[in-house]
Amino acid sequence: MASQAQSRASAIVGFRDELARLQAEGVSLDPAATEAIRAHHDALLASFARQEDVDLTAAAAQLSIGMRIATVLGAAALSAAYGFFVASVWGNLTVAPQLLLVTLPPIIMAFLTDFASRREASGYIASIMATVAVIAFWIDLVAMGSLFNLPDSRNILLVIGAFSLALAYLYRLGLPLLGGIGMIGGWLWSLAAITRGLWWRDGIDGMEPLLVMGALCMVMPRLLPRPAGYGPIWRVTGALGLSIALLTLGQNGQTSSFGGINQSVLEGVYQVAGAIVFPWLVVVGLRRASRSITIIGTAFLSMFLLLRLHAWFWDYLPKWLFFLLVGFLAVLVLLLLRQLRSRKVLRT
Amino acid sequence: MKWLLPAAIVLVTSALGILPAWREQQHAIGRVAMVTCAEDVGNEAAGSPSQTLRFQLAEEVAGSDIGITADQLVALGFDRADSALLGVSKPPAGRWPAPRPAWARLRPDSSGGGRLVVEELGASRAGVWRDTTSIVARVRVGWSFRPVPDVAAAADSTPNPGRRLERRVMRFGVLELIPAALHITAEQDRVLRQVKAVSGCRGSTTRAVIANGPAGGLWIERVVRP
Repeated sequence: MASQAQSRASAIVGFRDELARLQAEGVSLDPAATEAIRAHHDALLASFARQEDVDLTAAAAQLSIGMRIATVLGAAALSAAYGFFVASVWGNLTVAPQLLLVTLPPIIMAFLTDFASRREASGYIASIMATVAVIAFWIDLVAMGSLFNLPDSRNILLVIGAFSLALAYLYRLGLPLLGGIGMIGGWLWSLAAITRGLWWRDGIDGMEPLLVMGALCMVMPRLLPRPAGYGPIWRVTGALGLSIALLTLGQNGQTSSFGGINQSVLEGVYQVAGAIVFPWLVVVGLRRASRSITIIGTAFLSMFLLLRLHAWFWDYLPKWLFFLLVGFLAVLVLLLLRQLRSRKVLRT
Repeated sequence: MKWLLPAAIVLVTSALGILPAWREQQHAIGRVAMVTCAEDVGNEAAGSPSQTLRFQLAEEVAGSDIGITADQLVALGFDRADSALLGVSKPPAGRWPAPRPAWARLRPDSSGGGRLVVEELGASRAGVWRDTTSIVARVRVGWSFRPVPDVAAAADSTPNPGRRLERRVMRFGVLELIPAALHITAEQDRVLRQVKAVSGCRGSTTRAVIANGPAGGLWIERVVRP
């Protein structure tokens, strides 16, 4: 539940800590100005606390991480309880009660998400309810498909994704947003099968759709700027999709949807793209102060370099020289990142 | 009242899924009776609590000793060059031609009805001839590297059967019936389990009647006790 309020509250807490240190070190400050700032900050923190759940101390932030883990565990446990309950009574029911048993729970859980979001500002309970609603909807569609012998369809991903995104955007919940991005992404990926005349499941082998979706996710915060807290989720998902697709395509041209083109040429094109995109992700992460994107960029850049060195030199160099080269490159990357970090620190 | 939007998504999707299938099941236009037993019962769809019945498919298209001709392959959306794979004793090193959706006319085999024999393949439902004693269903067709069926028997005369190597070739056929398994009610499930408990599955004569709708829908109409 990272938000603008949380980042402002963290800045205020940091500012107060530094102010206390300055006073302890004997730096003289204008008491009237200090008091005016304190009063303004108090009013801001009180307003944040009324609006949503913000962590005002490091301990509170750690507890929030625990609460997020508990949310995921709670959602998984409740979904498993529902799934096992349905399985235990399913065989004793006729078709009409079976349909009610799987159709009503997602609706009830959507209502409970609404109820929880109004009663509890942090959104943790609502997140659990929404996640269980999404899984209940999944069970509903799979059970109906099985009951009426429907052919499996890509559209199951579309409707579950739409349901998940509706809950995420209506109630500002991060977990359903991730699920929604995954489902809609899977549906878009499967569309590649149409152009090749394949059954939808067989189209999810070319990596280019993942590349396009990753890029799309990176620009989504510009198209859907609100809520502001969703920007990092979109960008991190996009960076991951983009990086996985580029690394795979650069390594193995057989994973491309363009089967007819010379594989070496394809791999070369994607290697050049990777050499541009991975460092770009590091820069984007630094510019946006996003630790996740910086880590993704750095990790994939390192893997990319290692794989390229292996492909180019493994067969021609003695093993000791190859690893010496890798070690030398790692030091070079470290020096480069240190340079970037010091520039960033000086600028801020 | 924001929750009404996700609720509407659930209701509309459920209605769109159920109604066409329910209407189709009121108008069966073809039926076949397949020998079956409790061993064919499983839970095929992950996440679904329903019990389902699976049927074995015979791959080959009737009237063709190696499966299919180059023209038929092209009609199904494959490249003409893919026909060079037929009967090859080494699988291709690169990417295999991807499986494709097709429609098939299926009928129980003459040796007792334990398997569905593929009689005809077509790219569309309209392209496959149908009658009341066969079913027309959606399938996935493609390539597999499988043993040659008649070679195993012929190889019995080899000097050392213990060291006999199975000959495998690239074959074209139906890879999957869509849906891969059909729903059975709790009552039909009980009948199949009773039969297995009393007389076992070996030599079973229990039959499941598969009905076929005009849009290609399949469902188990009833299970007939031996």
